[in-house]
Amino acid sequence: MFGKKAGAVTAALLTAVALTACSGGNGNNPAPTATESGGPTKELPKIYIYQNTGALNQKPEGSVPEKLEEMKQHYMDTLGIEPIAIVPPTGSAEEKLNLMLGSSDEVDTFQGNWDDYASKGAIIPLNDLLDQYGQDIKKAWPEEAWEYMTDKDGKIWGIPRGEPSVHYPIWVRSDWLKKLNLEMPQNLEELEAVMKAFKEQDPDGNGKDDTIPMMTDLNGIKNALMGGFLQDGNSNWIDPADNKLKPAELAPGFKDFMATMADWYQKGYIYKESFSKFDPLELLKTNRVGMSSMWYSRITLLFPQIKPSLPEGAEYEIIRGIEGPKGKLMTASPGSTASMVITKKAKHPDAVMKFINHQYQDIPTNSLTAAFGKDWRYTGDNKFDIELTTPDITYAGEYMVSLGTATELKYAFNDPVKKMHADYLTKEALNLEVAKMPIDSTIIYDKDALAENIPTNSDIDRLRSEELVKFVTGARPISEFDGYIEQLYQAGLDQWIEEYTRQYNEKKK
Amino acid sequence: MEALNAEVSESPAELRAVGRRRLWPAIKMHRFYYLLILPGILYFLVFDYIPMFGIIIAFKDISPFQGVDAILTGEWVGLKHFERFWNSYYFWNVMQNTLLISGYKLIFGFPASILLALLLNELRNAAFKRIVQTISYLPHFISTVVVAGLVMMLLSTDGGLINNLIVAFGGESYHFLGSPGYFRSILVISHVWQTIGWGSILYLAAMSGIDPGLYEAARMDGANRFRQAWHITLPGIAPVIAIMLILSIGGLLSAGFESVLLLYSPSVYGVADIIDTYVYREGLTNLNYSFATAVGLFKNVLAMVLILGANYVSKKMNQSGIW
Amino acid sequence: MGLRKASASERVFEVFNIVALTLLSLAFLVPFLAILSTSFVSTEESMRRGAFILIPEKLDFGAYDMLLNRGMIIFNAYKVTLFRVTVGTFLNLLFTATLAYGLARRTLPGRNAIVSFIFLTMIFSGGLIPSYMLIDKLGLKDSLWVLVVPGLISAWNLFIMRNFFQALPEELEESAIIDGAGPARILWSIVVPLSMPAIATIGLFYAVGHWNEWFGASIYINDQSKLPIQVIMRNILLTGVIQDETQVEYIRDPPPAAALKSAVIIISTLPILFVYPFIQKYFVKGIMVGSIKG
Repeated sequence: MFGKKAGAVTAALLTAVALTACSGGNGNNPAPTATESGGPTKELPKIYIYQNTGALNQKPEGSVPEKLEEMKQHYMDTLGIEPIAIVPPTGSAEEKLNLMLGSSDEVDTFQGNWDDYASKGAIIPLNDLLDQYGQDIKKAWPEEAWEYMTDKDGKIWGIPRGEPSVHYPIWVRSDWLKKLNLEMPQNLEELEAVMKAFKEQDPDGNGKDDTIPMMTDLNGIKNALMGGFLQDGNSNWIDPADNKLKPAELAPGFKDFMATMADWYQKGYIYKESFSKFDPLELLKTNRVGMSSMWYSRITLLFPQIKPSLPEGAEYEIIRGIEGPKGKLMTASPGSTASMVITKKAKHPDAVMKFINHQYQDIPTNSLTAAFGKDWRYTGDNKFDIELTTPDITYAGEYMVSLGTATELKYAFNDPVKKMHADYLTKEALNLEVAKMPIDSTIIYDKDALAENIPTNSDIDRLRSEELVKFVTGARPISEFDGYIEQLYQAGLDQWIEEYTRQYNEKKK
Repeated sequence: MEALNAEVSESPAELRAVGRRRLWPAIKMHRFYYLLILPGILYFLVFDYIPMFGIIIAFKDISPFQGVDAILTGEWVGLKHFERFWNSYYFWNVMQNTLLISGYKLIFGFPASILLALLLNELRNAAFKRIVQTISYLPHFISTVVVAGLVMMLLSTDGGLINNLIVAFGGESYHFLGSPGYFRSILVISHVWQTIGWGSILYLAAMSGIDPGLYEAARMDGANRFRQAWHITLPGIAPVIAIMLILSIGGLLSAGFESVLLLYSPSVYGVADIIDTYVYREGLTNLNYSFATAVGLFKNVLAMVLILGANYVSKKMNQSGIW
Repeated sequence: MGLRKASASERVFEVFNIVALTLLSLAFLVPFLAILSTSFVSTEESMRRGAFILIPEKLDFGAYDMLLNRGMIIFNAYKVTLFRVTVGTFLNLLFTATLAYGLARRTLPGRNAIVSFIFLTMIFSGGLIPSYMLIDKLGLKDSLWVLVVPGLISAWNLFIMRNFFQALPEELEESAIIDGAGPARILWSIVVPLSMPAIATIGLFYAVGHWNEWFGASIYINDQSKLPIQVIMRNILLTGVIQDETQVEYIRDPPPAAALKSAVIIISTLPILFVYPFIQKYFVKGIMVGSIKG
């Protein structure tokens, strides 16, 4: 009896081992042409790209192996550099990156916040490399973008990925406005009137009182609405009484802002689930959302997909020129320190820079090739409109290292589904005049010093989020607002103010 | 079975007494046993004890990518990270949430698996039993991410099944996921749903090892189903229950990070923020690896205390435990 | 056995039991079926109706088409998973059973010390970084063996198995020892056959553990062709879920459709479900009885 069992087990094992041996072979020797094609016998410098830029979102499982080899060969032939891509695991990409940085693994470039890595010696300054090999990169990004990459000693630590942009416009169902004979609201009273009309007059015509006047979330109300109530918008502010930098909660007008939000929530103008986890796509599908003040891509990416199944004429448009008592409603997003960086242990930093620079040459052609391989083409002769040659792309973009406004805004898909998003990026995203800019937007705070001198920093963050949500949803009455400020001080707001003021004064230009 | 155990448990003490006086002969007598367990011990030595030196990270200020040298030569900061955690504004809140959430999961989930095993054991139709058993552990294979998605869909205020039922019965739709009163229950119920079937496998395996003769004898004596279950089945699997309970108690400080992270939001931080999510958010603003390690060590020490306590109680009650 | 007829209350209980278990089964089955049927929904229908659809209007194999026609990626991933489930589980059982049996021997000097030694590893851990460095130094990175060796013995499973071994009557072993058998021989010829339910169960735990494991694989392996199926699937599933959009500034693409995600779940779950029926027969009652009386 055992002989048979042992036999069966052994057979299974042998099969498994045999299969693995085969797959190991297959995995290492893809299309023979790639590795045997007559290339120069000298070793090409290899660069290791940790592909966490988001380029892989279009095809998370990675490229079809043959296609990846093709692209690799393309770069070897064109640039004389062999790129090796490391595909990070979704959800634990940063953990793996940090582990690889700290061990003997080869990682040459990745995307991250340079200020997290520079002070710890993990990355190198790029000034010389940019001068020698990165001229196209330097030209592609405006001065404002480079400011966010430079430290107080003038060292540039990363290649920018974005610029200050506006991300929180208020979108409204323009077909409903027409249907109910309403004009685009230009101030808060009109905005509220529109929401009230949406709620009471059943614009989707289904006979049910289920219309959601505004879909939003915590960041949404802060960035899309607070500006109308606070002079500086969703920003830290300088208290003229003592010249100290304080959080928005202490600014005049904040309490009014909260009271108005709470009022709107209670009246049902703000979606009930806005402050917990919900699926915007599912909500949009139901044809009940009148307005959205969430991150712009909730509408630009999701709406075109479901539009065919919504009634004829459904359309979302941006509300322009709307202002509150204290001015523009929207607060812009300052530039961040997210950038492409080069590691200290990169063996060929010059090759890395050359590789990245290549994608900034002939914009957007090279960048598009890095993203889509051969599966795209221009549709006109203006080097702007493009389309994918196949809906089923085979190359996922592992070698794309130029994802950012400098390249992304230089083309647009001819695809109607992608048009809304492309339009927003090219026409709206950089219009900073429509929003307020936080007053400390150009300041790169030293995170280590913040953590050191404000030990309860993340507690204060949680307190601010948690209590703001409680006030808006009515779980806590507005009358307790002063008590809330007390709590903030108990949690260490004094240290917060001291430290932020200190850094602000030190770093402001 | 209990009688057999009783007999056996007397001799180890005796033998141990003998062993102490004559250690070397005892070792020689058992040399083949030592050989047998040597590979296993080596495994733990290499893969668990060597990396354990990393615990010192909790007492230093290290970033994850600074390499081995930094870990060995970095400066000591003593209990700084621990104090930061203990003194934080939300320390008690986070501790309470962690213990309550995992406590509820244990109180409801643990007996649920045993109960399911007992019910399955009573089924006479073998095919039905097998089918139900297989179905019962389907949830175990559905990853937490998907379960979270299902929960959100189920509880949505508009279109979610639960609220549809409530409205159909004349009520008003309720925002469950944003409600501090319901959130923990949601976590517990989805946890039990996911684990009850899988958890019962072990108990069923243990039940199959009980001597059928005992059941026969009981039936002769006129015992009905319930008494048989109470007096034979349960005691028969008592050692397994004990060890599973002890091991589970050791896990009380990890209350299910992923499922909380996927479902929680500021509205319910007050009841849902657990140690792991708190540390996770901390890591998002600063790459504070030492802090995370320190909190992890703190959790481990507490878990140790809990397990020792549970083991002690278990040995007192029915003489089985880990030691 | 049929000497007593079932009392009325027992019959009621039986009915109640069947009803309760059926309802419970539905609670487990329905969500799974919803995922299964959603995987057959066309993108067009998915955009019209809700996320999880119990009865699709028509069957659409688009999601599976997209996944399975990826050629080598999926195929390789399955092979890797198969390797770790078979070879891995075998090694797991081998090492766990020998260690568990050795530690079950009550007379073994130093037993408690060794148990504590192992037990501590369940509680304390140095964390990810030292483990990563160790794996690096051992040369296991990017090798298939990193899927099998670091998790060779789970202390949890070890203690459970030891628990089972301890419950076996000592007379059996005693008589074998008197006959001159060494521990390995006793383990193989006597203890293992008698503990089949335990071994089968622990084996199932290890096998399923291997099937589901993704974190270690994702961290230690870079070579795409060596990733097990769960990592590939999880990459697809999680795109657009955990990330906070303000941290990632450029999302060019909407998250994958519900159908694709559902197909991913089915593909990564179904195969292992078929293992259980084969293990079932080891749970049969009474396997132990004959040998004791004999």
